[in-house]
Amino acid sequence: MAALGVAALARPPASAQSPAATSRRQTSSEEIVVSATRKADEQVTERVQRTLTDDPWICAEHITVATRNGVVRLEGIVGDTGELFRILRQCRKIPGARRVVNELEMMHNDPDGG
Amino acid sequence: MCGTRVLRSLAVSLVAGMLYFSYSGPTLAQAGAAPADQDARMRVLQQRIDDLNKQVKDLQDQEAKTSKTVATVDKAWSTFIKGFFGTLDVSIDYTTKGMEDMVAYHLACTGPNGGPPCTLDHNNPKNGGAPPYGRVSWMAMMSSNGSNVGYRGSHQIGTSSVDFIYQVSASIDMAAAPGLQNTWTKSSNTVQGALGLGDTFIGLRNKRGGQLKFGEMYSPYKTSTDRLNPFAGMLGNYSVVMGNTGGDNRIEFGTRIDHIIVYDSPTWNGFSFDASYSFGQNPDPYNNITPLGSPDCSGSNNPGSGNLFLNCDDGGFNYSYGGDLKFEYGGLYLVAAYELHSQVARSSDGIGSNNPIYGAMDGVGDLCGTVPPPPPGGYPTPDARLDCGTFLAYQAEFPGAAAVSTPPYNPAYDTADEYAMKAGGQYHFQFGLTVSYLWEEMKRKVPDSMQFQNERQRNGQWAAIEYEFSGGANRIALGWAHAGASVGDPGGQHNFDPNGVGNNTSNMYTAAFWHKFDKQLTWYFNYAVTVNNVNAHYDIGAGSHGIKTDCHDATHTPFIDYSSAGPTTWGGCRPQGYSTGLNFKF
Repeated sequence: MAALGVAALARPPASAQSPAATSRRQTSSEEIVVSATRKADEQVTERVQRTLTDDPWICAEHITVATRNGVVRLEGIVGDTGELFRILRQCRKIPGARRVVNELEMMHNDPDGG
Repeated sequence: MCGTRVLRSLAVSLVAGMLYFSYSGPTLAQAGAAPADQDARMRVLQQRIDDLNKQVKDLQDQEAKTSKTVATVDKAWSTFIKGFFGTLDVSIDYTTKGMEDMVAYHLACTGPNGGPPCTLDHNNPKNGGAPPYGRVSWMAMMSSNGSNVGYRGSHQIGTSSVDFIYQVSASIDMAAAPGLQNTWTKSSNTVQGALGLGDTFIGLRNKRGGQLKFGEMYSPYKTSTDRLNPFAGMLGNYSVVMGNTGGDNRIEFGTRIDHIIVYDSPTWNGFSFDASYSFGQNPDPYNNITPLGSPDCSGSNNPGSGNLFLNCDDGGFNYSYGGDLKFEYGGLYLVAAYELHSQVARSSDGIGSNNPIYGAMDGVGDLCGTVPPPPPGGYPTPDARLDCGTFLAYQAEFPGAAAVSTPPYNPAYDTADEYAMKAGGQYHFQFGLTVSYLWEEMKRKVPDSMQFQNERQRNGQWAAIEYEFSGGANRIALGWAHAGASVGDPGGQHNFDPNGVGNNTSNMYTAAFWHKFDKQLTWYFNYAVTVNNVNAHYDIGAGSHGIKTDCHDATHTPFIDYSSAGPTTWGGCRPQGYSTGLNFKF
């Protein structure tokens, strides 16, 4: 949402601009949008990482977090179902996280398979 | 540290030199030295200052490089250390097989060749009415449950967007010394603690393309529903019933598979899928031997299980493939999965069978025409469904053992495809409650004439609720698994009831409590009971708990009744137990 706000403010009136100037300014505003989005994504990633690290019941050692356009992607391994659900629940609460994509694997506690 | 000290010394020297010359300059001027000489001396001094500045800068650059190297090394070391993962889990169990009062009876059959219809002859108990042999009631035990150590990582290939990924994992036993684990309650003769007894693979990964893994690992059929099972590693693990075609301890649809390729897709709008293919690598058309490159039979069984020496005729299969389709949105998770095992060998199901239909195939116990004297008119032609060729070769080699054994089924009749499919859902509420349900169907495609012994075809259900409370420190879960009746029964149970076929359903009930001390250490308590009907012989702990409490007694004589070998199976047992332990993950 922050990125959209910056984009709206940065966009100049379309009329009264020469094509070259318009093109330059559009490029400039796109860069602002991209960099603002990237910054917002980085902030979300930091918040997620901090949340997981600070949580007293989550072992986040093997979890990697990546955010793109507000979509948080979680990868790695987790210890049990309780930890998995807690991680997903905590991440979904984080402001700026539009969606949480779960690509976590359960650490197997059943190595013999039978 | 060393670089910093030198830098500081030089800086001190530089400042001292500047102070000295700034003091001596006016003194010289006061002495009335010539301006030209003074200029020359100033240039020399300036040159020295410049040289010293250059040295300081060089040292600063060098220190910066060293710091950067140290930081890089620190990061690399941190990444390396983070690659290690594992579980250490030991519990104290108190369990019973729940069969101490059982009695087995001979059958009274009135059909052709001693076949059905039959009744249990309550006036003629087996072994004089002896109950199951050994300590089959409550027993205290220590169990290591899924303890393992592994290492995983990734490596960017050049400057591409593709990573090389890898993982090695080892199963370790925390409660017993490493050694062969060829026991009757754990069908594997691999060495405990060996590398590879865990998901082990190499592969390639791309953010947009997913990942492709090559090695030995759990198939998607298992991993796709792991999150529906809070009881992994416990007595009440859902594998007691789910994916467990025949009861007992071996989970054929939910086992690690050798030489398997697994593809995991990325997630698109909540959808993702996985697919797997395992090379069969078995030169035997009936898959009765171990695959090339594997120490064990496919299907996680050890050569010899099923009563034939060094054979894989109790579940060995050729290639396997499968996959899953998953959808996750918010707290909702939906999953469907499928897996096929091609040409699964089950010819040993005939050996030791108490099923009267099997008995009728073999005439009145003439063991493929080897029991003298021949009946009037000679021995009857052996039933094509029996593998009398193998049995006669065995009889010639080991006449003593063959005299108390029985022929296996003909592999041409009893080698068939088996597949399983399941679908389930889960919802996780924001207040910490999770509800899960899973339905499963398993099939074995044998000819109609063999359906009477087909215990591999049935349905199953699993339901669980899990609730986190006390701010996340505590968790409780309840689970129920139901095994539907199979279409047939091989009759391997000592107390087999031919009128109980179609009534071998089972229900497993379980409850567990977890308390977390911190991020890694958890104490748990689990209770589980399996209520088996008539001929059913499902256990507790199958598929994950270190020690399984099953429906086998402690018989250690090779042959006990018709031709049953080793610990005797008792249908209708009611195993139950308590387990408490500590689990540490890193």
